[in-house]
Parts: sequence; C-alpha cells; structure tokens
Amino acid sequence: MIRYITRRLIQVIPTVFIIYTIVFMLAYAMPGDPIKVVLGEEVNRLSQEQLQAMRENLGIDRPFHEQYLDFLGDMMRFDLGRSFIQREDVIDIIGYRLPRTLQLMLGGMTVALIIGIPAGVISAIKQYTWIDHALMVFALVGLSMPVFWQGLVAQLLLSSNTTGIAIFPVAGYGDGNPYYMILPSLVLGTNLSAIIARVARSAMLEVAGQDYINTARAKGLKGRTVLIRHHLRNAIIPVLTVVGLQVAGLMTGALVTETIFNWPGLGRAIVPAILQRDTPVIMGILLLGAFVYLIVNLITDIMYAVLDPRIRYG
Amino acid sequence: MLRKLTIGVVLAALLMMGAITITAQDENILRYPITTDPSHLNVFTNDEIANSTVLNQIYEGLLDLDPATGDLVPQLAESYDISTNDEGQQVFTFNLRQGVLFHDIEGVELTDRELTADDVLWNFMVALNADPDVSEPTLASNMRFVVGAEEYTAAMQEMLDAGDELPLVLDDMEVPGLQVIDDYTFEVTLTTPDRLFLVNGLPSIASPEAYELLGEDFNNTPIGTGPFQFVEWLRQDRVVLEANPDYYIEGLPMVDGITFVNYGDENTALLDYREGNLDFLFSFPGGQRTAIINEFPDDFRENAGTHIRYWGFNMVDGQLANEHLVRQAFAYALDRETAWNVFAEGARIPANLGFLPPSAPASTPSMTYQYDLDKAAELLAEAGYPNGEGLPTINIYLLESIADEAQVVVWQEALESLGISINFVIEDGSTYWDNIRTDAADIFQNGWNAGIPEPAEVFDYLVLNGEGSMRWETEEVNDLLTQARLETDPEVREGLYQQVHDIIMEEMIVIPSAYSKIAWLQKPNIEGFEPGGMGIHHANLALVSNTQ
Repeated sequence: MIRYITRRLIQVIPTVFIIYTIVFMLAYAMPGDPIKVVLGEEVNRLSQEQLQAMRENLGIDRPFHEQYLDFLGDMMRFDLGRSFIQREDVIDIIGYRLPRTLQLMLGGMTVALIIGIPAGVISAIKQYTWIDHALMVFALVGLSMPVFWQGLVAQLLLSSNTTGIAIFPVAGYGDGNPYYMILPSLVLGTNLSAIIARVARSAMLEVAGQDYINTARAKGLKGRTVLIRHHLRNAIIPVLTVVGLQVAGLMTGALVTETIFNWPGLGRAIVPAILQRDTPVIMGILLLGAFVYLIVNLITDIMYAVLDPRIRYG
Repeated sequence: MLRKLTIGVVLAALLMMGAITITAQDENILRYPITTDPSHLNVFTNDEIANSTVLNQIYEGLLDLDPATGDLVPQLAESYDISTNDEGQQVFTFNLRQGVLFHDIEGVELTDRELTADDVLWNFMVALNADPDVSEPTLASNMRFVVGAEEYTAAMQEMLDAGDELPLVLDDMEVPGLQVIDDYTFEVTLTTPDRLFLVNGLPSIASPEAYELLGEDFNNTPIGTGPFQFVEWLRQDRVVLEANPDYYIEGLPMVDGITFVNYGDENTALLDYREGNLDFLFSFPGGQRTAIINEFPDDFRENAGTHIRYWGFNMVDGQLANEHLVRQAFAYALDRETAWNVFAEGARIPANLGFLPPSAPASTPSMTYQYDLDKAAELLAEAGYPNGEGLPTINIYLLESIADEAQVVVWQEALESLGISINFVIEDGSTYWDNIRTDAADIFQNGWNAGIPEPAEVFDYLVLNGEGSMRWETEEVNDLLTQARLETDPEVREGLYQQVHDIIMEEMIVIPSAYSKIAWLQKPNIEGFEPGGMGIHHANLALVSNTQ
C-alpha cells in the first residue's frame, strides 16, 4: 500500500507539470492586457514609455519561453508570484481563501452524503413504490436546478422573513461561525446529493441479486446487518468513485455559491482575475485546483481498498 | 420518541442561533455595501472607485470638494491664499491646521505624531515619483504646472528608462515650486495659472513613517489623518474602519465605525437590506428598479450625477470618419427616452442636450439631436445612402460589462429600420480599449465620469489633443481648450467651452446617450448622507449619523 501511495504521489508531479504547461499556454494566449483592463479609457493619458515601464514591472513584455521558465522555476520554489492587480503575493491570496473554499466544499460534501446515500438506499429498498418515485423525482429536480438559482431560492425561503422564514443569515462568512456555513453548504450539496442518490440506488439494486446477499440472508442474519455489512458496503464503491470525480464539480459549484453567499473563497478571487487577465492568480488557483483534484482521487483509490478487502494494490 | 425529541431540540437550537446571528447589531456602526472588493488600499497608486470608497474616509488632502456643492472646502489646510510672485507666477500658500494627528493603529504605533508641512512636502514628492508602481501617473500629470515638477519627473523617468533603481524621493534634486515655509505653512508655485490645480492637483496625505515601516504592507494598511482609521480588511468579505478618536473636528465622526460589506451578487445585497442587515443599498439588480422604489419609497434617494454614457465615432480610420451627415443620422436615430425611461426604468437621464453633464457650465450646445427617424432618413439620403443603400456594414463595439443595456437594442432596431446594416462586437476590457482604436471599430460604447460639473473634466481628457478614443482633434479646438484652462474669468471661460461644445456637436464626433443618476436606498435611521453628484464614493461618512 505504501509503495502504491508513493508511486501515485510521484505520478502527481508530471501531471501537475502538464497541467501547468497547458494552463500557462492558455493564459499566455488569452488576448488582452491587465494594465488596460484597470485603466480603461485613461490608458490614453499614459505615454508609450510609461506603459512599457508598467509592462516591464509586471514582466509581461518578455517572450513566452522566458515567462514560462521563470514562472516554472518560481513555482518549484512554491513562489506563485505576485498579483498584477491586487499588489499581494498569490500565495497569500490563496492561503487566505483556500481554507474557506475547502470548508465550503466539505460542508457541501457532508450534506450530499447525508442526503444522497440514505435516499439512494431507501429508494432501492422500496423499489417501484411511491417512496422510490418520490425520491428519484427529488433527485432529478435537484440535479436539474442550477446552483445560482438554488441559492436565490434558498435565501428567499430560509433567510428572509418577508418571503419565508429567516432561520439562516442571508450571506457572509461570519468570522467562521459555522452557522453561516449551513445554507451555502445545503445549496452546494444538493446537486451532488442527487447524483449520489441515483448512483447509490442503481448500485444497491445491482448488488441486491448477488449470491452473497442471499447467503447472508439464508444464514439468518438480521435485515439491518445484511443491509449495512453486506449490501451497502459492496454498493458503496461506485458511490465513492462518483464522489471523487465530483470534487471538481463541487469546486466549480463552490465558486458560484461563494458569489451568491459572499463567501470569501477562491471563486471570488478567480473570476475577477480572469476578467482582469491577472495571470499569476489564474495560474495559482487553477494549479491548486488540479492538485486538490488529484489528491482527492488518490484518497478515493485508497478508500477502495479500505472498504473492499478484495481490492489490493501492487 | 427520543429521536423526535432530539430533532426538535436541534431545530430549536438552529432557530435560536439564527435569531441571535441575524439580529446581532447593537453598535453604532454603518453597514455599507460595496460590490467590488478594493484591489489594494495604497493611496498613491489608487485609480479605482472601489478603493476610493474606503480610502476617502481614511485619507485627507489639503482641501476637499464639498460633495453636495462641488465647492472647495478646507481640510488639512484650514485656509489658503493665492498671490503672484515677482516673476508673475501663481503662488498658493496653505495654512495647515495645528494638532492634526496621524492614525495610531495596532502594529503601527504613531502616538501623537502631528502632521507638519514637511509631511505635506514628502507626500507631494512621492506623488511626483515617475514609477507607476509607486505613484499613479495622473498625480504627477495634475501637478505638471508646479515649478520644477516636470523636470523632476523627467529626471526620474530617465533613471527608470536606464534601468536604475529609483529612490522614493530624489535627495539631490529639489522641486522649487514646493516649499516648506514653517511647520504649518506650505507653499506651491505654478509656472502658469491653473485654476484646476486646487481641484485635482493636491495629493492625499499619508504618514511617511507608516510608509517606511510597512513597506509592501502599505498596500493594504492605509494610515492617514481622516475621520476613520483602518482596523482590518478581510478580502472579498469586508473592510472594517473605526472612528478616529483623535480627529481634529470635535463630534466627528458621528458613528463609531464603518463596515464595508462586499457583495458579489446584487440580489444578495438587496435581501440583506430588506432584512435590516445593511444601512444602504447602492446597486439595484437589473429589471427591479421600479419594484425596489415601490417597496422602499421612504428609503429611496436620487441625485443627478456627473457621468456621461456615449457612443464615440472612430474619427481616424473608421468608415464614418468622413461621413459627417451619416454620423448625424446615427445620432437622430437614438431614442434615448425609450431606452432609458422605459426599458431601463429611469436608471439614467436621457442625454438630450450635449456631451457635458447638465449641471456643468456650457452644457447646452447650439445643436441637439432629439430622436427623429425621418430626419435621420433625410440625412442618409443627402449623404448619398438613401435607405442605407451603399453604406457598408458598420461595426459597433460594445464593452462586455455594459453591452446588455437597453439602448443597444433600441438603437439597433432604429438603425435597421433605416436600412443600415450593423455588426455588434462585444469584448471585455482587456482587449476593448485597444481594438476601439483600430480601423476594426467604427463606433464604440463608452462612459466617462467628469467627477465635478466642469467642462474641462470632460473635454481635457476626451477631446484635447485627440486624447479620447475618438482620436479627433483640431487646432481650433485645442487652442480654445488651452485658453479655457488658463482663463480665470468664469464668463469668458464658459464662452470658450460653449464654442468647443458647439463644434463637437455640429461635427458629431460623439452621440451623448445618458447622464447618470446616483440612486440609493438608506434606512430611515440614517441621516447626513450627501453623496452629491460626484459619485457615492465622495460622500463624507464622518457626517453621517445612525440614530438607531
């Protein structure tokens, strides 16, 4: 297992390098100039020399290969550079926001698992009953609603005494008060819970006809024991795969959720950075996102073996 | 039973927590929404409204503009004199207030550090620094008539071009036009009279010690002398200021602090305002303006602003650069009333006059362009393009952030009804400003904030020497504008600007579309909030009280 984890961790390095190259090429190829985004019409008041000096200061006047290699060298020293716009180191920008985005993602994932797995399991057990149909309709609706719309509806229903009942704050981070996290987590987790419910249901149904389930029942084990120890445990692998793959989706959802709920995470930083061509910030956040995605999927793979002893890694 | 009880307890706890969290507001602070997080809080390099909203409460200059009247009022200088020296140069003598202290905040203890004329000189010198990373170039540009300023900046620029490391201030070179007379008297001499120097040539005053002490952190830790002092900035979340306990005007500020809350979504801000979590609302979600005014009739306020929305013609290599009559036809085809009063629910004032804010002198040109499609058709025919025949497809550039305005749709329909073929190109700010200055663009969408109701604030930036993106200039107009800048007699000056305005509208280099309104909601417990027409960020929040 240790060898496997080490090998996978080593594989992360070339993957991140390839991602870095692609992202850098895309960022370089993006038309536009961060100086002109900020100055707008006022850029006409600067002389060409002043504009050139500003470009030199930012290092964006150099050829592609120089910028590419410099940035690569800096990145290997964990120096992600300095924001063109915010006059702050990218590592600080990310360092401040990443824990908040992860916090939100964790909240969303918790909601998704708490709703999704029981819904899928109950739906499978009560196959073709009204409960099954109701839960699957709920899953379909949850899957179809865009996050921004869910956010607005949730705020109107649960944060306003005018249009609903004000149980939760409308928005904000609230100095880390977990209470502020509940509504955005609910919104973020709903989509994923719908996916998990559907996958869990089909996995449960697939396992239901297996011989070891019949054997367990024939041995006289209690229904709940069969369900949890034999049925659910074997059905959970596909769910786990989906959860791992959906981390990227969760991160994307977090970016939208952060905007609606004034959550000071990475999403609030990357959107203006893209619009302002703030390449160091774009690079930093995208690379970090890729890294998080790779690590989460590694953890998912390890979890397979923990949950299913038949799976062994060489 | 136990399970039901547990669920009940959890739900009750949630409700109680919610109630506590939502109603937690017992301090005398202003809860002030901002829709864009400041990019930084460095007063020398600032050129953004989002930054100014915060910085204007922390920093002060020698003089200020009264937001309501646009008049110059004393700030750090309690008075000033204007005289002429032996060489006929204009001299401003500023008498500084005594007992003004720099903010004393955690981490930068400047206990009882009093502002003197040496500090003022230091700030002027930093403002003249040629490095755009140290000082925003507009500061030096606005001080260009100070004796020795241009030479000083040029020497710095030379060093910058040679790749030399630039000091903050050149120790071996003086600017003779900036003189410390004594601790509380500062003198500025101009090579030529410049009546706008007092309006835009005076930098805000920061603490030299804080600048040195903080280094890079000066970008996010502002320290001035204003009514509020910095407490913390949680990026994309909020900026917190507290009342300056040593502020030199007794009784001000009237609140204990301000929390600038950052909202990424206008709907969220509206909801928070509705729930009583904000004292103001400045940005209304699209399409909800009328509904919001109806919902909060007592909270709604509105002022005429100094921003102008317009369509500029590419006057150098655009397809209409030599089509004077066609440009006029385009102007007659813009139905501003329908666009702004009907579709945009009155968010702006239809610009039925000219290219200046209505409150500015000379704002009514001799020729105006009221919506008249028949007249537009006549002009097209006179230009040799009856029913648009023979006229090439016209490329109109739209800035992505404002491309969805109703005026675009209204104008498009009118132009197409005249037989004119239009190609709209939408771009964001990173490419827009370059491309509208190429032959790809015939017409472009733009806006400009005059800041104060003063013709020079529009013409000097968008017309003089062809600086605006229309790139149009004539010797006659340049001469008139240069004369007007120096003219001290208001009537003569207005006459000069009137001539320029008439020429611009006759030539039809821009189609004025709308004048801004500054609209906002404020809770009934708020008093003294007067943003005037210069923009919300100019409001002096020290005068605002919260009677909650």
